[in-house]
Amino acid sequence: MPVIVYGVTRAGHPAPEPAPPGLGHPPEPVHLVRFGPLSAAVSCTADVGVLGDQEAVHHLDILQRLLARGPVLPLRFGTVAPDEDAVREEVLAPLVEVMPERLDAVDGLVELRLDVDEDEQSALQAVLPGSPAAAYPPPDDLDERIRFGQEIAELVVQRRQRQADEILSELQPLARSDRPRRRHGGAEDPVLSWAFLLAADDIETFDAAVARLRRARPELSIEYVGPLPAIDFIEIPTITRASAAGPADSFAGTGRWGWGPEGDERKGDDQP
Amino acid sequence: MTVASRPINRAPQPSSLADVLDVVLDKGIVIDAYVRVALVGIEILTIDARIVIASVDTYLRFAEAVNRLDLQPREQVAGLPGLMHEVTEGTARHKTSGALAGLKDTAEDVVDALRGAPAEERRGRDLPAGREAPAERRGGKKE
Repeated sequence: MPVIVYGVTRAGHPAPEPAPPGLGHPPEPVHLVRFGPLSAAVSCTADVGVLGDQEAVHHLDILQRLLARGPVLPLRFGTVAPDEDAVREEVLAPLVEVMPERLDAVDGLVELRLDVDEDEQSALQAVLPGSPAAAYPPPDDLDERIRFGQEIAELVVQRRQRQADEILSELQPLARSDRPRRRHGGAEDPVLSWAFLLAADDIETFDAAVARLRRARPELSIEYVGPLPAIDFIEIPTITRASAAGPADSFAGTGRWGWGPEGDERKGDDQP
Repeated sequence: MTVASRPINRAPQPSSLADVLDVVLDKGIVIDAYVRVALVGIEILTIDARIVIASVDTYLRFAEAVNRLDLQPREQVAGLPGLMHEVTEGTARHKTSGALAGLKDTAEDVVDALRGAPAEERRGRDLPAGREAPAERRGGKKE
């Protein structure tokens, strides 16, 4: 029976209890398929059905249930194998070399995301009074109006950068690691889009810090999400048949990971 | 870890599909070009989702850029009734009024186009241009 694959965990990962229902019709419980030091969270299904937005959310839900018991990295949504043996051979076997190490590296760690935005009106009202740009009436000439608008946009950008710096300086000391996520800080971008890596035990402290931020800066809309698998802090492999194609196929041979299927010689992780 | 059950200011999952897909699609481990394990049923969603996300993003940026050209100067006026008052009272009054009157016409055109009725505009014309412009613009924006 086909199985849907959700994520990769360590072999010793406790099975989710109670087992969440998987995707497909009818939904079957999610369970772990083990191979060496790794396991894959899968569910059987007679019919995969349509994989739409709700199913994507459900997939994430399953990952978060797994994350509560240990490190997990997602498989791409919609990964389906004909049976559990195929999962062992084609998903877990090629990952055996590097994944255990990477999962160990994020053991006990989770990702939290912060997306901060400010209403344009509120930003304009904050930057315009007292600014040199506000001392002039808006010019009639189109080019000058554009330039004028640019000046104001620049003020907004400066404000966003200042806000982002202040927020980061409060939150960064609480995280193990952090990094930018989406475009932010520009005239048409949100104030901040950032991912933080922290120990699951430190979440409450971080929650409190974000709650303080919200109180101190009511002008900002703050989307605060997590805990998520630490996907922004781990290099996630792509398993291809690249090396199986042989050295003659130079294009396929440029695959980042250079893995072949089982039986083929594995070059292993070629990153530092 | 029992965080999920606590009352928190944190959402367990992203509210936008783009952010959900960021986790389960873009960042997920890809098993590519294998014999038996495949991506099933997702291709349409993958393509659609990416197109939708890209174009919403792009359109929004364009719309906002246009908006900015047209609205930014007026936002500036509307956001600063106090400053406008000073300027019109000061020595620069003459020049300022001229500039504002020109802008006012633009604003009225927009307001008229939105309302399809010139009633407000007529009432506005009787007032000094410099004072009226911001108030009228604010009124227009509320519609």
